[in-house]
Amino acid sequence: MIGVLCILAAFALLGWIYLSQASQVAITGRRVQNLEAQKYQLQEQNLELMAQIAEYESVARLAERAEALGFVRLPLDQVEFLAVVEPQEQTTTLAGASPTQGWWAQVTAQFTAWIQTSSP
Amino acid sequence: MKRIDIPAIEAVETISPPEQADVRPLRRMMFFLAALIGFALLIAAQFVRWQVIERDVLIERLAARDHYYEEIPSPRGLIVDRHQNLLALNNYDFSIEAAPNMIPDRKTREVAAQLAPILGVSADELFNILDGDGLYAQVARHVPREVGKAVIALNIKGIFVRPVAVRIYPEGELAAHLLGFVAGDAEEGSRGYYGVEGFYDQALKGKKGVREGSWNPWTRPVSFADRRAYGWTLPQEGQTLVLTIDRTIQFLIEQELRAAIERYGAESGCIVVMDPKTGALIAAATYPTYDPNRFAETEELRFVDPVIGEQYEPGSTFKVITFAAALDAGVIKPDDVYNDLGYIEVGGRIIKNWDERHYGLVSMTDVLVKSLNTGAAHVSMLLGANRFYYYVNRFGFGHKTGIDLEGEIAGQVRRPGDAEWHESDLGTHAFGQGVAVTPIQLVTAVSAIANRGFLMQPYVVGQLMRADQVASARQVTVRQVIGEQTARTLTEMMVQVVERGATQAQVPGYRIAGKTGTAQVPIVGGYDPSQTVASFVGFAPADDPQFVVLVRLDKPTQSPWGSSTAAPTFANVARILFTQLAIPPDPSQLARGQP
Repeated sequence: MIGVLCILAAFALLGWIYLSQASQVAITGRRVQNLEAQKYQLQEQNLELMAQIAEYESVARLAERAEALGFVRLPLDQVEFLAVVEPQEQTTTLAGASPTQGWWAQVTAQFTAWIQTSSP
Repeated sequence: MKRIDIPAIEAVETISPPEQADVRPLRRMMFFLAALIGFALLIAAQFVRWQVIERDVLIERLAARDHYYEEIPSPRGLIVDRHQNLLALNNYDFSIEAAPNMIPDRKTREVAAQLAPILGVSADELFNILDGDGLYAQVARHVPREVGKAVIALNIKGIFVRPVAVRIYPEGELAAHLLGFVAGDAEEGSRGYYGVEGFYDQALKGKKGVREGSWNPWTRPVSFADRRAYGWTLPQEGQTLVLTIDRTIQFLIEQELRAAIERYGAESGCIVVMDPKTGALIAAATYPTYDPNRFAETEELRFVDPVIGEQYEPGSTFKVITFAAALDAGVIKPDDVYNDLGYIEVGGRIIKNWDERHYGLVSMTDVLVKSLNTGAAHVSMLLGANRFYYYVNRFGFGHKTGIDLEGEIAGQVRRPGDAEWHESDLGTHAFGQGVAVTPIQLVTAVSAIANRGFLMQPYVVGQLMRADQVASARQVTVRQVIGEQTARTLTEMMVQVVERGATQAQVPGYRIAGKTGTAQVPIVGGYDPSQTVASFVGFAPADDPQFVVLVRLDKPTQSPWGSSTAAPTFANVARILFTQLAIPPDPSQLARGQP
């Protein structure tokens, strides 16, 4: 009698495991499908937004917008290059040099750079 | 006698059922148990039958059934310029489809009336599509997103809205010939045509994914198919192409080309800008062009890129090739004197100067400055046919440059040994008549002069990117065509051309090397007496060339000459490039107070 009950219990357990696993798989599958649908939807939205950004940033539109805002195109023969002399890197203050001397060295370096810069 | 109360329990015992009555429920339970066991055994037996006895038969039967198979499209790679500005990307529109058998009979006309105003077609026309018991009907293709969403909102049974990937070009006509276009959709099998879309079609496409499995009883795909038999392969997205072109420069040069065509009454034209040190294309403007977003409305001939797919006679711009060959072979020096009589006979044919004048004793530099046809023919005769065509071949004429654009042609150069070659060709080819080149060939050849004699393979795609992987294009040095000293000498001669001849190509503050060209237009049986192809090819700054530019204007009506149409256009293009590429003027040139 007990043996029969044990067999029944075993079958019941197996059935329960099978059913719970099957239902879990079905639930997970459904979730995957939903997530996939969500992913595609987001991808489509992303594409749409990218297309909109690209249209707004198109060079023809930017030029048109700039003109509408009052910007004017500089005639190419009026472009002037300004030579900019890079300020020399500050050398470390000599040992024993006072802060005033360091400050003075900096001021003279800046003045030299300014002198060397050609006027526009 | 005292009455004794019988305890309740005893009373119960006295009324308990007989032995036979106790056995009955047990029998019922045993019967139920036996039934259960029998049922369980049946199930177990069925499992054994399915899993063990008939296993192979069932697997075969399952395999024979139609299984679920779906291709997952891979997103096509993007195309961006050198500063990562988008030039081509993906979007989607909608395809409206129907299953007429699913639409209730009485409602077909109602459905047609609902859809008609949204789709912009007549209700009768729609009714004809939807009427009947068909399983599938195509209602509308490539409808805009707004329309698709409006149809989705109606939620009509039997009407399906399917998103379809489409390629869009946000800059419209900008660099259309370089980009090409994509035709077809995911279902029909899309493919890139022309430009980089065509050349890099496989790289842009990526690899489609696949999802396969079984159908459930409701003809829906089973979420988790047997992975041993079926499975999923995720799509591999296409690679992003990073072009070498600069969107802003391309835009400005296209504007300049259109202005020049309008200014000089030309029919068509192109401007090509190349970095001579690497072979990278910086810009390539063409006119007329087309909008790749609307390729279906464009005539097919327009798709051919004139820069790589159309040949023309280069005229006097080809003289720089002749002089490069002669200088490199050591048969001339810049100061060598040539006595120009105004004509020269080559292979029995009389060749005259473009202005039919004679200039007497002139230096070789002056031959180039004054663009004397007789002098160029004289130089090619000094070289001899073998050496002349050897250099023409080394510069890449008559061969494809190998640029990564679909639709390149090789041009045509008749050589000794060819059936159609004539001795007089040596003289006419020297000044660019009777040879057919593509603009990209000429720019590449002149780039070799600007690049110390090294011929670089031109290219448009600088990088290929996928996720975090980046592959940079390999700069290919094809060969050294002429020596460095020859290149320097010829550059100085070309600077003289701009300073003393084609002065309209000058830009104050910069040393520019260049050469004009005015070629007649070949027609059946000879050349058109009135129409020309005006061109100018040059590079700057001459001492450290940063760009090579070819300007070609077809059939200008204001003036037929390259010196008065293409040369000033070159100057404008050069100004754009000096500004955009931040190339400062040469202080020594400013000090000279050049015009």
